[in-house]
Amino acid sequence: MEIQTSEINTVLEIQDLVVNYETDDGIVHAVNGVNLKLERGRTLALVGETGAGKTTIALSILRLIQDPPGKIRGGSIRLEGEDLLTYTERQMEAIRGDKVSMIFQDPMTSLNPVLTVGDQIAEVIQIHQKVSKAEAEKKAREMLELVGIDGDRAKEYPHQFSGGMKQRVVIAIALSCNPTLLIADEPTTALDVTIQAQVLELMKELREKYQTSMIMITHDLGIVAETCDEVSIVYAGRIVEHGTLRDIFKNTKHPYTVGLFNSLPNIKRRKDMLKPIKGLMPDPTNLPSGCPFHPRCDHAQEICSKRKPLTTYLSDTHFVECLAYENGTGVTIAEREG
Amino acid sequence: MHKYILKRLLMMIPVLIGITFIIFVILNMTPGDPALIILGSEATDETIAQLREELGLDDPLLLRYGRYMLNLMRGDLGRSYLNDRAIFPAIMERLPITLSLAFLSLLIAVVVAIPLGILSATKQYSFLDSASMILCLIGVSIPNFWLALLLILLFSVKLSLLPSGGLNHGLVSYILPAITLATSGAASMARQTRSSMLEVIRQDYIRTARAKGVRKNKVLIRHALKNAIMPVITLMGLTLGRNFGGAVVVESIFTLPGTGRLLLEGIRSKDIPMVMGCVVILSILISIANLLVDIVYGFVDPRLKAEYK
Ligand SMILES: Nc1ncnc2c1ncn2[C@@H]1O[C@H](COP(=O)(O)OP(=O)(O)OP(=O)(O)O)[C@@H](O)[C@H]1O
Ligand SMILES: [Mg+2]
Repeated sequence: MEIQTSEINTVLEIQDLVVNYETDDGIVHAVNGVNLKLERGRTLALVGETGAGKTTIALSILRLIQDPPGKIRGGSIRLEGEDLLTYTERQMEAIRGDKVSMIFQDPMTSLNPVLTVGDQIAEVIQIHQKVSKAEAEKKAREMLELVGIDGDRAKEYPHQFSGGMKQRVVIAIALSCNPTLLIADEPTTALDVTIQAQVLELMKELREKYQTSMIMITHDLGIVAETCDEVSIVYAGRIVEHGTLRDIFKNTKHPYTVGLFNSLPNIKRRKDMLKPIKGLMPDPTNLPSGCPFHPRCDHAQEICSKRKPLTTYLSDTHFVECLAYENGTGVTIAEREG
Repeated sequence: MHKYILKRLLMMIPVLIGITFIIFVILNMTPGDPALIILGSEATDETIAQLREELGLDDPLLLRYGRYMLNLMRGDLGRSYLNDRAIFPAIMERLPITLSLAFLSLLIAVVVAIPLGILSATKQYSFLDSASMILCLIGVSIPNFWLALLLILLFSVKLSLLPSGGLNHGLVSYILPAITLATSGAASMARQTRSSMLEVIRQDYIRTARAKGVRKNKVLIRHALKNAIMPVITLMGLTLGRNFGGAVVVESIFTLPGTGRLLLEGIRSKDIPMVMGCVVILSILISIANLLVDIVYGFVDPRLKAEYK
């Protein structure tokens, strides 16, 4: 029975996920063997540069990758133990918006311009809960009020709302059916700083209220520090370092993660100069051999271009994919100044 | 909304003035003396001069145009040179035929084109998509008169299924003419539906809808089509307008006694008041078609409704 309880506590488990965009110009290797695990009520941050594959991972969970050209080529995605990759489209439709819901990157374009805001919230309620249209509409108004918008505005259209309000509507839609898993893809990048803080605060409150597990995609380490329990650093479609908030912030291991911190202005009053990571994200149609980060890494040795790093566990909660942490590779990294 | 409609109706006035003026000038520059046409070849110079005087044909062009427009405002389109019948009732008598033809062919076009466009868009690059797009290319390029002849050959001569002309079979008589008239409009509407659906289904809000668990077909209709239909509605208005013009050719091929036929007969016999009358009425109809489009727009797109106030 012990196994079962742990199963139930694991909301999401992704293993060896591989996703390609197979276009005429070549195969974009967007996700190359991602593993991640999320417990009930916890929040995981996916952090990485643009093009790292964060949105692709998120869309795979909902099986909403644009196909063509996107194809899930391998792995499994288990939601409460059930592999979503074996589900039929009908079964997925029953999950989307109900057990798993997603807040998309751009609130400005995420709402349908010709339907009222109320209708768009009521729709998801009516699909997943056995309620009448009137009840769904009433619930939609309640959801609007929950995210801090006057319920009477349910009959208005998205163009009558500001950007921050649109994002609140999107959040209301995503939370309407009390999802087990909420995926937020940079929910605040399109918003200005004050609204950003409000929206984050709101999400935190709602998450606590409903015990929702959450995946928060962002490139903002400040947001990570404020809202997340665990962090996965994504680079070229792989998780190169993963750990608790403390592991990643206090015990940073991977040179890429270090680079991310160094390229941030004044977090923890770092005494180093602002040091952006040299070079660019590798071209995902043609990834470098060996460790994908080696062309940009200050510590790279010859072996880094030849052998792919294995996953090295530094503790129960903290792993890193870097040859410097494997025995006998000869790669060394001077300790980062804390 | 009412204010907007009123504004649009008022805007029709300058358009009509422009059209009528151009037609009036052109018709008056063509050779042939109306008095001679009315009186026939046996008329003497004297009677001709007298009739010209009576009809005011010797007055300057602008004065005659002004007189015509004044009468027009009273709903008087003048009298036919041929049989002295009042033009307005003559046109009104034939108008229902043209209207039926135009609307029926619009209906056929819409019913065929929109599902075809949606299907092509959802199955982009499939056999069905390629086949229907080739058909559409043929549809827009085939001349009406030729298509009409082909249809008559097949359905009337070979299969004896449908009448080749006239109005003796009620609604059935309209089938071939309406299909002929519908073809090019249907083809361009299907292409427009396909391309705007393709654009819309890539939008973020379609992904949002799918992320809510909305069924695929429902996403297409409720979320995508409602956005994609806008440019198609514009095209419907244009098509309806073009149908009124196209009716001229189709009515004469299928010997339907509509306004188009009346217009052609008028041209052939140099019956200037009849030609003017037909052009004025058809122009009004085309303007109304465009107005209808704008009104429908306001209902479909909430962003425009606000602007219409
Ligand atoms: N529809 C698509 N067709 C082809 N390539 C795509 C498509 N969508 C994404 N990609 C590619 O897949 C890779 C990963 O993209 P993804 O959107 O997952 O990145 P991301 O980490 O979310 O970036 P960002 O932070 O900018 O949102 C990129 O190289 C991108 O160019
Ligand atoms: Mg993204």
